Amino acid sequence: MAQRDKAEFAEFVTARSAALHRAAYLMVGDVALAQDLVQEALTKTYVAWPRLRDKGNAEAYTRKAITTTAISWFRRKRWSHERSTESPPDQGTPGHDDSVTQSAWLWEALLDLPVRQRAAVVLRYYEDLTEAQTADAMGCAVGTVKSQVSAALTKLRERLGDDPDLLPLNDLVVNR
Amino acid sequence: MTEKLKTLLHDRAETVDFDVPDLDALVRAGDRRIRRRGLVGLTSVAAVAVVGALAAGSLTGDGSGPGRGQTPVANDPGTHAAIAWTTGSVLHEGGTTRDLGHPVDAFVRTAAGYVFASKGDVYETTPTGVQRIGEIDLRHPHLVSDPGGTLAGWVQRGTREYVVHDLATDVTSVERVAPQTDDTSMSQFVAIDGSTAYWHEDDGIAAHDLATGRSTALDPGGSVQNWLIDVRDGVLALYGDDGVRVGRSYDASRPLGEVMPSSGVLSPDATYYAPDDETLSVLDVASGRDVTPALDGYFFSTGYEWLSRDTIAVIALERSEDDPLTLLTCTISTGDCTVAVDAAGSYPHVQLPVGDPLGG
Repeated sequence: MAQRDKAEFAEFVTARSAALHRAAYLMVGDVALAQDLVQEALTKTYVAWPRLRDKGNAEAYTRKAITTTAISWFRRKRWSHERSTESPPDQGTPGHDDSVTQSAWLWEALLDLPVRQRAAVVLRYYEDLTEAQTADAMGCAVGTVKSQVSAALTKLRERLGDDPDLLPLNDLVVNR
Repeated sequence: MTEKLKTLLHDRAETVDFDVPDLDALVRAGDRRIRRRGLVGLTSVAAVAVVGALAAGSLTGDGSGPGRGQTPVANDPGTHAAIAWTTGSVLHEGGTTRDLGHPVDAFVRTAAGYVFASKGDVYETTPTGVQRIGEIDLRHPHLVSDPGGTLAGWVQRGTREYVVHDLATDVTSVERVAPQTDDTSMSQFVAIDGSTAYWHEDDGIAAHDLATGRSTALDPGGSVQNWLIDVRDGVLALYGDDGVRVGRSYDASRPLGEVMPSSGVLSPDATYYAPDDETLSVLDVASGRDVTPALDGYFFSTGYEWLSRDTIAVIALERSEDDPLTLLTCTISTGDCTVAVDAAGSYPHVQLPVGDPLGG
């Protein structure tokens, strides 16, 4: 790769690696695994860098690499099993630490989702991507994104109850 | 819509700190991958050798062997095609050299001659000269061919057409216009096997019958999770979530052991598969058994082209990536490897018949 390209790539890594790590962490729920994932995705981006004529596409390319690699790793290593479907612990009485408890439950419930569903939720609600952008990042159809998000939210509701403040309702309707 | 889920995700993401990636390690890993990809090509299909002398002879109408200077190949495991490589504009093959008149950026072998890319143009070799037959991406030329047949293909620069050229008839046909793509697209002309062309698009892998012009989806509903690595004698090598799969159809494919590298080459009759790895590896497709010939003394080695049903061409580096390339032939049935070319050249001047520029 030309020195100028390498300098541009280094600049991209420096500017965006923190954000990419955070998204990767939400997808895999593990700091070390997220670092491995980002390293792998950035390596793929480096290889593809000369043909990324619009460097503005680099982040989309890396995000796609993170998502598809995470899905591939999880499926390959069979880490995507449903860890638990039992009800969450008693939600206790209302108090000042309610939000902390609720946050912990939601996090646990998110990690219990199959990896494709979790990736769809992260891309839609953390990265704030459109359904079309999410589909591109996941390498699937928009209809698949809708169904994955819907299935994820349904599972979260089953685990966490029908708290309208907690989970979006409108995405439970799938229009394919 | 509530923002609570979003808030949770953002709060959770902010709780962890990450080190800035080791840029040097990343670049080293990327450079290694570029070199490997350059060696066998992401699609690898161009790297498979001639099927056999009988097929080649009938295609060229020359009973004594393939035409246009191609080294004959017999079904006898003891006979195989000669290793071919280029340095600049010079083609080296079987102890002879030939100046093609244009510096070679990438090239492929067919039973009727070679097709090569040079500075955005595509050329074919003929017994008497070199003829321009098309245009190709200037920076990243990518050629495919059936080494046992007379067809080569590429995506035409500018028009983005998938084109196929028959070296036996000198006819170039436009098969399809490649879809408009962005930089993240996975679209690529992947392979030609017999009379079928294969391309990978964002919605899956298509098999295109060159005789009828009909295309069929290999993996309906497929995605970037499935990548066609190679096709030989109707057998597909695919890369998916569980590594490499081999079979006559997507549905009938099955995992080939624990092979994880995402490129490799099938032997002409698909008996063997050589993954593109750091060290030479050859597997029996039917059993998954490791049948790798003995090859010691190199820090990097990988098979890149089958020279017969039993012999594979291997590229090797002795100590570092700065060393000149050593080219060897390894025979599966005997388990032996022999140095064919001790110093073929160094990156990026040397090219091998794999369809992509060596060294990225």
